[in-house]
Amino acid sequence: MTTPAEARIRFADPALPVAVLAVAAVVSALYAPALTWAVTGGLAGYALSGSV
Amino acid sequence: MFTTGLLLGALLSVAVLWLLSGLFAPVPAVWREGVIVAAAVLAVLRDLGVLTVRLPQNARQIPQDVLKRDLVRGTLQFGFEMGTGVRTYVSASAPYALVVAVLLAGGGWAPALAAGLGFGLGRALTPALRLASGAAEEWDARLTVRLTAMKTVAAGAMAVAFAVLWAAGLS
Repeated sequence: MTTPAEARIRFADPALPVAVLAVAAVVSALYAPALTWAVTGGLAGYALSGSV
Repeated sequence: MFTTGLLLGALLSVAVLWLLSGLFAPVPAVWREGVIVAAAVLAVLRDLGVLTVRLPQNARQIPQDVLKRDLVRGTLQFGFEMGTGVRTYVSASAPYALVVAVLLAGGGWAPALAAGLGFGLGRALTPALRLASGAAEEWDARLTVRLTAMKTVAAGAMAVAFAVLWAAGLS
């Protein structure tokens, strides 16, 4: 049984945005090219998660 | 304030890149597009550890002092410095691929603006998600384990997206 706290941690998993943005980057390149720049920018920014 | 600073810093950087991009306008589009995709592929290889290339970075942390002087202004400054991408460590290769793409894409200012906004929001996502997890230390531990894969997937997705974009002739 997953507790709410465990579910919250899983929902906020650090890898989740990369997966979502990676799919969004390819889909936007196919169907909404203008959006690709914002999504790839997001990927580049989020990739710096380990840097302060 | 922190996110505002991130966005302002990122917009300053892409504005500079967009101004410099004019210098590459004489280069044929097919060459520029090829280099953009190649740079993203090289970013993947670098993050995988296959390629060991030292790239320019400001190898320092933003001093914590900026937050002590004035919390609001300090938070804005802290975000701004992080948002520029040139005032602290660059621990992934994807930002370098983005720089090459903005420099070489050509065209109007809208793509650069979108890339800058995306970069700032992408940076803002890290503390937001860490806070949302409700377990910062566990979140940090998960990040440490997954960081290399995350950086590689990010650069890989950029390479695929740029390749699709220009193969489809949509630029």
